[in-house]
Amino acid sequence: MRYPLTSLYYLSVILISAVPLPWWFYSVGGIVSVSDSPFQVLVYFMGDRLLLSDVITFLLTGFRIYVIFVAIGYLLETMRGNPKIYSTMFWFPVLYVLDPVIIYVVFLFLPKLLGFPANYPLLIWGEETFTSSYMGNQIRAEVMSYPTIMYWAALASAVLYIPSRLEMRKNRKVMK
Amino acid sequence: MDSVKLAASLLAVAFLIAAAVELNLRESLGESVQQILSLRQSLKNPSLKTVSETASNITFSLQNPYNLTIYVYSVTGPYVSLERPSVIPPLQNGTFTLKITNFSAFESLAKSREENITLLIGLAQFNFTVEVNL
Repeated sequence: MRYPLTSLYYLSVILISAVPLPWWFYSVGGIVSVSDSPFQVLVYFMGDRLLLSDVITFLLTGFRIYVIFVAIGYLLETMRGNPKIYSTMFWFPVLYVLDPVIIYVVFLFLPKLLGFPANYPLLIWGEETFTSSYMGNQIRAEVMSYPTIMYWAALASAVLYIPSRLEMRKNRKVMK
Repeated sequence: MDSVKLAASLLAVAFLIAAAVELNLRESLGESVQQILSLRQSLKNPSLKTVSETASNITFSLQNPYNLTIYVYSVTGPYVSLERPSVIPPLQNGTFTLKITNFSAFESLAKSREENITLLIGLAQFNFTVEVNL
């Protein structure tokens, strides 16, 4: 096999995108909790599963199928000695730290929709105590934001993309 | 777009169309909108009731409409204190008892509608204070 690293990269992409586990976990005082990945979303609000998150997960499953089949196709092409570049699963884990930022924006508007104004802290990673006062009453909540083991696996797969590109470049020079 | 990406897109679209028809996507969209609307309703339903009242204590009943544990950590106010912190399991009723230290002073305040107590309540890990006029 002329492209072992590229083949390994596409194999890891298939595995990462096929496993239905979340990449990031986010919780506001236990009343809102979000666990998501680029292919799925699960939201609990006041202890109840939000059905809207199932609808979004359904649409993201279409994207999951696309990624899996592209990776399978490119793995086969690579093993035939005709490697192709697919960088989506490199950028996703790298840019996933933006996920808490998106969630922050969503939760800036969700409480307003439900009729109680609140401000949430912008938190990328870790735990923070959020305090606020609303109509003279004190509010105190623990806000949590953590990547899961699955996220680290996805990031490890993304790291493989770099040697895979180097390998492709090196082999092309040899061919010339 | 190469043939691999084209084939993958077609497969994904075929899945989405087949599953949307099979799982009735319109119905589940309707259900999810309905759920958000009903959540908005349930947020406006605090149900605190007085169960019993004696010279030395008052017992309140609190109905927990959420799938989360409610904690009553402390109560502060003139002439009253919380007997012990109370835990109300998800979707159940629970009670908590206030001890009255000076009944006549408490009663005169309550009659003139000046008996304000502050409850420290936890909804899972979300803690907030509520002021209640007895």
